[in-house]
Amino acid sequence: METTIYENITEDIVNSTKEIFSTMIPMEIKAEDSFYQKEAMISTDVMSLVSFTGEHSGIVAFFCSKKIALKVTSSMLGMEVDEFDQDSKDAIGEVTNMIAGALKNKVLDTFGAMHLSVPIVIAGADLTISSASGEHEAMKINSSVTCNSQNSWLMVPFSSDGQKFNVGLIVKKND
Amino acid sequence: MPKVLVVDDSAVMRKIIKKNIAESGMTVDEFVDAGDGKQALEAVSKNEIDLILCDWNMPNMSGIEFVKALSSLGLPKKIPVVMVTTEGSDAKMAEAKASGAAGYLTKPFTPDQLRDTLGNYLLVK
Repeated sequence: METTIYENITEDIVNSTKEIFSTMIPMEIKAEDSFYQKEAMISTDVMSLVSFTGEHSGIVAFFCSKKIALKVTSSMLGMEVDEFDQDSKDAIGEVTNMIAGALKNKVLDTFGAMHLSVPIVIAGADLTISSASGEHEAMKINSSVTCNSQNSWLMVPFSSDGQKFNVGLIVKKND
Repeated sequence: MPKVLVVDDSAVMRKIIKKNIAESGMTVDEFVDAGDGKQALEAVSKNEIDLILCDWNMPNMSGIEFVKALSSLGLPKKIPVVMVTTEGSDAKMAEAKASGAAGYLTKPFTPDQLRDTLGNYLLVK
């Protein structure tokens, strides 16, 4: 099932995201053409989800690589962060929360009042495999996470210094 | 010198708020952290807090529930609470004010907006 289309929703997502970055995250970002994610499975390093309920319900999501997550965290905190840790998850969760909040305020007249959840952030684990004896070299695996949805996401891609991230939206009007 | 309680379930956001306050030259003696409304009530009972900055959407006890609970404590000194939240509708602002919040700042905010909002409560060096 495809997410219900509302006029200007892509523009509202773009403006909400740019508003957050221009105010609190000193990173240049550029929006690209939005699309509907037809594949049910989305594979990513990091995903952050804020759900909302009300006359409409759905999810605002932020999908990114760990590299982008580190860049966002460093920019938000004004200090170099080179290890993906709790602060990075927290930062991406807060970014998603602010994007969802800004979007909620923009679509109030269309969607009606909505209640936002606290963000949930899921990240793939960095696994290290080595022999018990230590004879063989360790092998590092950066596993990604997958999101399986029956509804297609409206995806708005953004780029920053050649790195990409997506802001996704699923929304449905409740009966 | 004032003691400021920063209530937000995001540790990163608490760091950003404290960093912005420090860099803006506002004088704060000590920051106290809380991750939700329940922790904030505990912090108020254990510390002499002069100003509270409080998020709205948090687990366990929301910011607005905390503001209402704080008002009902009947403390001898009323502690001003400034809501710092993504909730930006007029209805939410009116609800916060009616519940006892003294100020309101919508996320995202610039350092200047934070300084302007807190200027009524904190001195600038």
